[in-house]
Amino acid sequence: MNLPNISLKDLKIQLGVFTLGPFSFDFPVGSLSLIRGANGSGKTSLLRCLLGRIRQSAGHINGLPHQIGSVGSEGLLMTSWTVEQNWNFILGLLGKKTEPLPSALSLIRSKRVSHLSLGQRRKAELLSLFSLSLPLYLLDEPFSPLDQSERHFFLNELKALKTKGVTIIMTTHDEDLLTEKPAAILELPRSIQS
Amino acid sequence: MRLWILLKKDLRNLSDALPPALLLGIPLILIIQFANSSSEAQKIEWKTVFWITFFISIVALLYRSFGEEHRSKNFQIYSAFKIPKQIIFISQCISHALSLFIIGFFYLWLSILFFSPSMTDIPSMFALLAVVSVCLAPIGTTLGLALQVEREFLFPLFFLPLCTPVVLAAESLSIEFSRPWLSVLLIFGLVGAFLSALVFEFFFDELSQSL
Repeated sequence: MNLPNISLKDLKIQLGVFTLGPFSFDFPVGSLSLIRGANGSGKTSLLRCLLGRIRQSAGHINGLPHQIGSVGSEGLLMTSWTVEQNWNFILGLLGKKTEPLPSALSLIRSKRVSHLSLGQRRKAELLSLFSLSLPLYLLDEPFSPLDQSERHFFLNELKALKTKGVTIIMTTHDEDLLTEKPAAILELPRSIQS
Repeated sequence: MRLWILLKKDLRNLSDALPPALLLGIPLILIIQFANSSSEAQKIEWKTVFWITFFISIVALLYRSFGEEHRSKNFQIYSAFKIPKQIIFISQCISHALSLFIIGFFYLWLSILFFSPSMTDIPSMFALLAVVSVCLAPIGTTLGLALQVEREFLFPLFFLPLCTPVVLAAESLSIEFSRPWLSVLLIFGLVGAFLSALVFEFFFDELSQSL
């Protein structure tokens, strides 16, 4: 079955004096797309808008699936809970029956998230979400707190997800790390202060 | 299913707020008992002491509505998994009502220990406590949420005057049954739940989008 692209039509985001758009763009499903732009150009705002965290001031977004995996500027895990408690909570919200915790998290399963380093926390977020194969992932600088070997590990995970037909929209300042060309690149202009 | 998962989450998060709420009232009961007049005519009724302690103590619990999510900055999970706001609201109300009842239950037994009242009043006090907990939960949930954005310290200033009708109704009903006070309590509960549900989404978005 051919799923429609995630399509932005005349989208405009207004946050105080910051304005992004209006612009239109199509993110092809089942592939990796990149949002590129300088700091403050609105990459995170656009991802938050796709996630439904902020409302667009004009335009439409079509083709978004019901469940989205998002990792980035906002946390995913409850900091006072253990990794395993967070995993069970995420599974429960997705209506999935108990599934085993990803094996790479077994060493930190009973650690409170607040006791984890930034890199470990990000690793826990990415491993938890990637193992669930959600239809769409919005990743905002996902690899920034990770070390080199972990970055390569998760890039391979992204490739594996793509082969399952998952759509990935991501921002990164480490574009050189990507081993294959993104299917679409949305270039955001420098921020317009009205 | 999702309601059950959210309810478990809320109860777990509120369990951190229970100990302060349970400790807050103990000095209050001790002070009132110590300062209480020995003359029967001027003595403060134990039920009055119980309600004062209860209403002061629950502030420590209610002002933390969504405190854990606010600290963890993880509101995105609700929009990412398209969780309806009504379910989030209902889950918070149920968990708050249960927690309020637990706090009241604790102070009721503590009052019995300190004041040795007649045991015949106790079942009706538990029933009244259950009604009061349900009446206060929605308004406490929404007010705690609304004041979460750098305004937590204002919670008692808003909450205590707002729940004065409930304090008066609870105190009067615990002394003798009165239909008008019961109406006050039930109308407060219904109107409070309706208004809280109405504005919940606005304050939820305000808090979650302020991150």
